[in-house]
Amino acid sequence: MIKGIIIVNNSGKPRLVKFYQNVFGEEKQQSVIRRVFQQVSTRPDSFCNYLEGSVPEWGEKCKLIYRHYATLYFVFAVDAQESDLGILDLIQVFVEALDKRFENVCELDLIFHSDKVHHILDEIVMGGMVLETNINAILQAISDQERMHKDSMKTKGPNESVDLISTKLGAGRNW
Amino acid sequence: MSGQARGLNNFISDLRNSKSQEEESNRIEVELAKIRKKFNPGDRKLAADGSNPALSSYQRKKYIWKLVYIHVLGYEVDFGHAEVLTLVRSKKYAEKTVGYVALSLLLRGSDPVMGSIVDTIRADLVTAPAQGKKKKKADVKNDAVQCLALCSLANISGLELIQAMHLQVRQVLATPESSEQVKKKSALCLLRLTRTSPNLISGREFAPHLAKLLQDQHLGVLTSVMSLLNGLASQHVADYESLIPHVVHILGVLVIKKQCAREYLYYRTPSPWLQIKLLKFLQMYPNAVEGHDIGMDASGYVSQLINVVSKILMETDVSDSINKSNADHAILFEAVQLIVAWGTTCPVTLREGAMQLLGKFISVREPNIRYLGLMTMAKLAQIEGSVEGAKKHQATVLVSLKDADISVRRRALDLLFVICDTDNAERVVDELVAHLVVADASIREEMVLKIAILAEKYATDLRWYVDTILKLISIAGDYVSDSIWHRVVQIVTNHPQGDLQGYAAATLFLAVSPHRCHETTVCVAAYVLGEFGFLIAERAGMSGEEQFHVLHQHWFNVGTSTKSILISTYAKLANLYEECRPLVAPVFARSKNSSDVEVQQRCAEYSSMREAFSPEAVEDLLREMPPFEDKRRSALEMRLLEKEGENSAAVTKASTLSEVEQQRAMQSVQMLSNPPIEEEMEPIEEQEEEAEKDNEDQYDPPRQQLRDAPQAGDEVDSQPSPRSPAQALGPGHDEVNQDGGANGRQINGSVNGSVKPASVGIPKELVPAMRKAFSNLCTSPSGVLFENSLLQVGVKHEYVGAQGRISIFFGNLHNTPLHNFKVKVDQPEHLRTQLQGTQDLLDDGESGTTGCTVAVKTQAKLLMLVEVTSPFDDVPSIRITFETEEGERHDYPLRLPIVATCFMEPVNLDPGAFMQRWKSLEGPDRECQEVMRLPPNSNGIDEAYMDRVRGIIVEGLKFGKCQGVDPTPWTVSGAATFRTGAKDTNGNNINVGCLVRVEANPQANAFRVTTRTLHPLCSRAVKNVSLVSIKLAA
Repeated sequence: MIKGIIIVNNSGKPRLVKFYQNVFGEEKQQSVIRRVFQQVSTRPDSFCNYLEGSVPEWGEKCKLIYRHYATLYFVFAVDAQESDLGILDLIQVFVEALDKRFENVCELDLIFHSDKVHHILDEIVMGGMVLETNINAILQAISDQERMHKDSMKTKGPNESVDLISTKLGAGRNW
Repeated sequence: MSGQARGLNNFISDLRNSKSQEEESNRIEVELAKIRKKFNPGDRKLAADGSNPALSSYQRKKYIWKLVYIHVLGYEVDFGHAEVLTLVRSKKYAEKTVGYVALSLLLRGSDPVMGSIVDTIRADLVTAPAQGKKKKKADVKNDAVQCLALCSLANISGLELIQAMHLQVRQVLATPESSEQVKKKSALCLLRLTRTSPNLISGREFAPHLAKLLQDQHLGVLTSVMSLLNGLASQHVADYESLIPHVVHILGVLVIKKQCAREYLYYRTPSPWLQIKLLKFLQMYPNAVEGHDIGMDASGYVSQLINVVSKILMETDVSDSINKSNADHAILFEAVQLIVAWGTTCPVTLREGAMQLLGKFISVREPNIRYLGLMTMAKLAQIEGSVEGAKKHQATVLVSLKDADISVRRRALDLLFVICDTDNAERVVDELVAHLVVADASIREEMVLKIAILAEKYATDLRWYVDTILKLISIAGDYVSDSIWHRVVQIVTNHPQGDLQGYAAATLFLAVSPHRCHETTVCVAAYVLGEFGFLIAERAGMSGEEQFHVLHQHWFNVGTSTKSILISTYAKLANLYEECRPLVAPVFARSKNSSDVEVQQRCAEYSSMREAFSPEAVEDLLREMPPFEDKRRSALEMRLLEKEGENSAAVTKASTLSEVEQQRAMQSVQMLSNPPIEEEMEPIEEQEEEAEKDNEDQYDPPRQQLRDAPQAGDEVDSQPSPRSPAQALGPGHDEVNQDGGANGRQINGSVNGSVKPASVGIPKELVPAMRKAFSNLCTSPSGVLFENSLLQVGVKHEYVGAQGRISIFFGNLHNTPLHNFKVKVDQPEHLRTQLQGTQDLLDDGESGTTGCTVAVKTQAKLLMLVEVTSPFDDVPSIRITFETEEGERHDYPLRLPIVATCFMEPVNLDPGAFMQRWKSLEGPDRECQEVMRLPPNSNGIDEAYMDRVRGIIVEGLKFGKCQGVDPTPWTVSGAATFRTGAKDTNGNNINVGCLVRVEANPQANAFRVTTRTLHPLCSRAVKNVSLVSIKLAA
């Protein structure tokens, strides 16, 4: 299974962190991220995309499979059950899905639309298992969700009016 | 979402603009305080669930998003749970999504608030699916809500949630009306749940459902179902074997017919992930193609399967698109893994084809393919007969060993290790040593360990081995562990043939001559020169005096443990060479005041030794060390095992004896006139084991008698010694154990406590027979420990020094399989235990295995490797639980015959020495005595009986005969050493000397057993075992 997914930028700032095998405590999670970054970032792009047994929190048999795109490292930590190349492909699918959704995805999209990134990831990986690899299906699910979201925002009910006003007024209100 | 809050954006921008960590955390503190206040303003009343009803939907979502963001940045968020739950409960999809995302990120399954949300999640889960074919908008929404619930259920996966929900999830999965999206998610959700609690699903019941799901046309659904299937099958392999044809069929459609929905083509490859999963499933059934060549293909899928695999092998090509080639190779590697899993049952052409392909891969530049090629080749090379194919690529592998990338280097090292054998050992090892010079720290330890093992394994000339290890020390001395140099000493000591010892002494003399050398070199040199220095003392420049000087120049640069070794060496040198004495004396005199106790003691003892003992005794003390025991697994292999785990290619390789090693063992066995080597080898087949048993019986008449001697079982109850390890075989028989010692009671108590009332225990009438079987096994190497109409438990145990290897066989005698077969081993403090058993057999109390299934007329096997760490007088126990086909639960606690005398090593003493030691061990703590009267109806004590007793003491209890100590036939005396693996402060094993004396009084029909040892527990244990065995010999 996939034990965790970490997206971290070239200077070590995490942009998306998802633990499927629980690593409890913020302190520990942060140390995992730091360790992963240290190890991955020192490897030139000409090296292979695998790194073995280097995160004690995930056990001896854990393997890091990562890809480096421009400013971001996409790191998947997996156990021996997963196919090594399959995970590389999965990262590619994830990135392509992001790219289609955001049109030329860049680091800023991950920062300002972390909700959407999470939604897309949830369509691809669920509880550490690969859920879907068909990009169209993934994007379809996402756009369905977004449409519904919009719909539910439009329906007017007694309680909704505040919501609508606040949406329209936006930053004009002090919050 | 689309109308994402500006405030959230601003907040994030603020954080991004922070100049320092401090500024960022300040900003977050402020924000957290604000949100906390919004959630709980204090002046207004909160709703019943703790949320603030005054918040608008918009505000609530916004604040929760902020909390999520803060959490992701790594800050502690410990409030807002009530608001999250409010969002989850909301009817509006927009709120629900936020709620569920936050739920899975901020809360854990164990959180107490989870209980209150269970009903909401359940309601969302069972939202009625669409009726009829037409999907309405509402149905899409229902799907999405179901998906949300499934998704967070999978992500949270707390124990309570699982118990509450898994039935619903199964139902959703099985409902044909569920949409694809929902099916996919429910399959994976279920998988996640079964991972947390593996016993949720009964395979036999669920397999037909899966078969139906495997007929689904939607590849996405298939992929998820395969994930579920793989997860389930890895827990209970046998239950899902019936699904192989279905899986082969899907694979055939994808690979041969290339039928695949367009959107599931990934760079023109039909759904690679699904193919991988299918192949992975098949890897779990290594016998699937067994008998393909003799036309055994009952269901017709075997030939199809072989076609598929060979098609994958042939058609994969390097493509210009990296992603396309990635996907194709992923499938290819899985296919090769499948071939590896099949092993020798796989058609040879496939194996050869795979090897050829891998040969191509390991020479490409693309690092990923090379890495995977090396890894897979190491696995493939393990199959019998494949290593030759792999050896052809040795030169290529050596290139990868010099790669800049550590991941590639590790794999190359591993592969080299696997393909190394007698033919190429010198070259491979030399290459490795050469590479060690430039290798970086992260891989050095591993390399040193592997080189040491290879050099030992394949050295046709042990001088080369010694040279290699010396090179290792000089190149990477800090990575050469103690166990490696200890091994050198062992090997040199144990191989007196040739001039190995002289060679080693001379080489080490030279190695230690320079003023600078590694401390480990000093250790080896000190030891070897102390033992074998005399062999070279006649050579020019290597006299005893010079040996002292080259060693002593390092005295001030080494640590105290090395100093201790040096001191012993000095003592030996001084003993041999007159001229060394004046050199050594001042060293001892000075070091008598050393702050290190060990150094101090050695110096004091060595320097006063001559006054205290006779010259003969001193000679005796300083004589060469006897050969070391040959352990089955050397310390190096243990270390490798520790590092890489049981399944690694390297470990398997290291633990099989090479030809050279076998020859060597033969030679040294001849030299030392030990039993022939065949005895030492692990019998693979049951038959062999039987044969061996017979063999032993033949040359072991006393034991034969022992085994055949029938005896009334209930007699044992009248046994005088309540502490006897042979007693108290099971719970519920406390009468045996009424005044038993604390240890015995403890074990029984705990065993009793965990018995479930519903299960069947050991029937009372079996107990006497079991006691007898147990007593029997205490002194014989194999036999049946337990037997009833369902189960037979056989034990075979053998011991070398402080270590033992106990194989326990659980044979099914019933006419139906035994399910959920589990064995729990109680690990007593005095034994260091390593367990290894049939898959899922072992219950370690944590992983919650459901146990394995023992089919009719087959057996499960448990292997225990034990090492004694301290004297003891109780025995380890195991508990066997299983269910019969009828659902009857059985629960048998058994005790294993691992008693103190198993670890004895005979010592032969002459009468004088025996009496001297006997006297020196007087005293209440050291002596243990007991008189046993035989029952009046027995045959009485005659000389034949005494012969049997003598046989038991020598053969069964492993005591050395002490000839001349027993002038009349009515006494038997013996001496032995009890070996433990514990170390004293010097790093030597702690051993306890034991003496035993059996005196018979034929007139009174009684025996008196007296034991004297240094340790009260030892005395008692030996006495108990002796009594029981003597009784059995009647």
